Amino acid sequence: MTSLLLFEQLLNGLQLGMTLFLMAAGLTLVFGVMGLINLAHGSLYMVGAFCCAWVTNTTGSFLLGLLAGFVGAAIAGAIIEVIVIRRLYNRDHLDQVLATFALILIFSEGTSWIFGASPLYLSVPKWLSGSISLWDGGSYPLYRLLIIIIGLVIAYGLYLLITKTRLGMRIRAGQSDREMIAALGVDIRTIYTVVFALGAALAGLAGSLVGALRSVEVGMGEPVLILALVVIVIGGIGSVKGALIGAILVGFVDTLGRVFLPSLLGFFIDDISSLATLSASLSSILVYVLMALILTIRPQGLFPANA
Amino acid sequence: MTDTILRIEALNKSFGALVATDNVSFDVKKGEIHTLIGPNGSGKSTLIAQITGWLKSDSGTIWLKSKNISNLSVAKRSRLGLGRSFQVSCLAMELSARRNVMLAIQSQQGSSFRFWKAISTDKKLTDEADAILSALDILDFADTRTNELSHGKRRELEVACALALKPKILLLDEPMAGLDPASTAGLTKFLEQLKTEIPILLIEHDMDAVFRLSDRISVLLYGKIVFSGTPDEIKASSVVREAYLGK
Amino acid sequence: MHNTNPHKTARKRETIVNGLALLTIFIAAIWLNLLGESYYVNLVSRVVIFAIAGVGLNLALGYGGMVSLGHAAFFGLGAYVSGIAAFHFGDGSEFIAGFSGTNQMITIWVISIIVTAFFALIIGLISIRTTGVYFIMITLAFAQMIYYFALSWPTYGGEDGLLMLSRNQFPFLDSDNDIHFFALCFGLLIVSLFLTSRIMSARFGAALDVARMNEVRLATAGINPYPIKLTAFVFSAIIVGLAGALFADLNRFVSPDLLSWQMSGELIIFILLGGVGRLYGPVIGAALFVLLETFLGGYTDHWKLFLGLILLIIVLFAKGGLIQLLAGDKRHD
Repeated sequence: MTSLLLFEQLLNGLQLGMTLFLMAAGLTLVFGVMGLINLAHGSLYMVGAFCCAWVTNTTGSFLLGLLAGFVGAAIAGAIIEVIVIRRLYNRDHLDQVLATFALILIFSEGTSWIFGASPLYLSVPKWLSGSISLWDGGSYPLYRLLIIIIGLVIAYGLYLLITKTRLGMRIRAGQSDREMIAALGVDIRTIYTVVFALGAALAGLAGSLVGALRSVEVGMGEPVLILALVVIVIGGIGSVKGALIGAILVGFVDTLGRVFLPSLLGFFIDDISSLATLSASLSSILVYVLMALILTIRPQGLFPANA
Repeated sequence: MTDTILRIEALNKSFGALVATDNVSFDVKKGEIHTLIGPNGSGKSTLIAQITGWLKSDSGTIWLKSKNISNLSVAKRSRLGLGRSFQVSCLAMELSARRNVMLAIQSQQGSSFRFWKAISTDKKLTDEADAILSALDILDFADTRTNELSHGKRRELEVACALALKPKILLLDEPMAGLDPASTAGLTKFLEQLKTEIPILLIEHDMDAVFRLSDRISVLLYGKIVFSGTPDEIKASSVVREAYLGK
Repeated sequence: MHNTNPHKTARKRETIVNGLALLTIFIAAIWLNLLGESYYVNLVSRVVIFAIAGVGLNLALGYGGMVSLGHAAFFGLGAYVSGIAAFHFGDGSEFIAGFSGTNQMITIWVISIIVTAFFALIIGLISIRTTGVYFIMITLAFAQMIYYFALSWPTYGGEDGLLMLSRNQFPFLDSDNDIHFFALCFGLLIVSLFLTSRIMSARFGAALDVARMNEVRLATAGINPYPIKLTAFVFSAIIVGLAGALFADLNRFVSPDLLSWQMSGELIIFILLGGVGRLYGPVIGAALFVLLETFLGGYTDHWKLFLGLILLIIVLFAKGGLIQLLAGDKRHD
């Protein structure tokens, strides 16, 4: 294990973390401000990816595609917020789970109906597919670095938004006392729509960025959603800071775990095939084990918001 | 000592820099009604939460007769005889009045891990529930769904549920709140008779009722007990007058 | 006593609806069998098995108020117990520690009960302490753990699943005969409905109901909500696991899909379509689901789009499900 390999994997972990942060931030904001658990967040990720792919392939510009992914998901988010989501704010969690689960079905089958069952083509554009050279002849993909930078920029942007702007103030106020803020005459409905659309936009951006690395297909959002749920449980539901730390933690544990677990287990197990099997099984569940551990020590997560 | 049913010893609770309970000690003796008064924000809710078990104190002890209940769960304290009613009615709204009372009787009679015998035909539960409802004069409403009951009837139902536990002491949190004068008079009379059997820790704002009912009154201010004494002593005290009753 | 008459007629209506539901299912199976349509007989068995799973989940979710997005874990575990037992029986090999396979359903059911209860206890001990949203996500996460585990275990098929040569055996019946198998499933449905109904009308059920409605009231009344909910969670897991074991036998096939979050969602859908917290909700819901799957699914591959729309409408406007529409509000006495 060289320092180069370790560094590369740390960056990969950070990149996964940033993707998860983009997803988790929207989820945790919506829960913190509106008290709503939104399972359709993965669908918004997917919508962003499909918008990005379609626009990129039609116009030839990846940048336009990214913009389309961001805006497309925001629009989709705003639409479902007005039609469905806002009816759920006063309902119990079961209703929210069921309604947003129904949305998953509608989005998935709808997308599959429009675009067909096979994945859309989207790849990293030429001008972004180079690498940065590291030491000892190693290199790291420029695109992945870009994702990390975008993630960090957005994290900083959210921090500024929440602490320094009037919208942010209203978000924080809404977080601590929904009824009070409504009584003050602040237009709560618009704020909610904006927050929801913002979360959706971030998910759409994440989907677009990752879509170029993996594939753009129906069902791509749910595994990421589930990981994002783990992230916000670990970080503390309602806390954007928790989402960031949780996302980076999960990103590291998942990436580094997959890479180094086989070597670690290799000390105890000689048989190659059972080693491969065991490593594969255990790597996938490392993140959940991490979650279970954190929850036994701190049931409210690492940085619980006051909600 | 056997006269003291509930004893609170040096209870402390802070939330960061806010001291909600500041070295509070008092007791409730057999046959008495000890009332706690204090303005909003004086820490009454926090104190009640610690006594009933919803909050863990930073330090101090709570004794129910000779048993230290400081670390016991809410349910355990109820079973041991700490009955309580809530400031804002906390009942199972979809259930009838009788069913709400039957729940407390069920816990008092033994384990809830019984899976076979239907409770709707269990006379051990229904008869006793009816007896308690009758004692509070709400037997006529036994089958009415709680969310269809008037505010006054719900307050009485809360007291009935507390009584169903065969409590050693009753903690009543503003039972008169929102009651009309007739119901207030009725409840006051009921509590006067009740205290001979079960001592009561009363939290109330209705000063007429407080001075009529209380054997002792303690004044809570900023989390501290600033004065404790008989109603006459309270009336005479300048400390109390300044701090609470207004100049 | 002026209230009892409306109560009584409403209860009667619900009983009639329930009875009709069971009768329809039974007659449908017999009739289809007489017509020689074994594919459709198995379809009715599918309804019955989904109904059993729904009855199980309803105990935790509908009655206990615990929104578990991870009950597929128990469904899949029961199914895999069935599949793995048959697998080892088929080739005479051993599972672990000298346990060889078996093809006796009763033995398999006992093992399924032990396995699902064990996992439910662990998952429950960690999750039930948490409130609302955390609980939902944690149950989902645990189910995912088990899902990924099954996915990467090659001995039992991994991603491709495990085929079973024939159904496991039950005394006096020929389980490979579809109508016999249906009768077995139907019998188990009746048993699970009966047990659930008894539990819920007893002291435990009274406590569980209030644990869902108002935990503070339950604790104040002297009953600790936590052990009550945990017990309901474990019971529910056991029933869902048995349904899973039957499902494996029905299809002679087990795969990790049975452990997926989509399956957890489907289990909740069975309950929702029929009516959450209604005893026969899952029966009617499962029937509705399979009908939609079969007939709507026959018209279009994208039938789940319409399922989603129906679900959305039910959640937003007709929360009580089909039973609410047919038999009115839930009775509490």
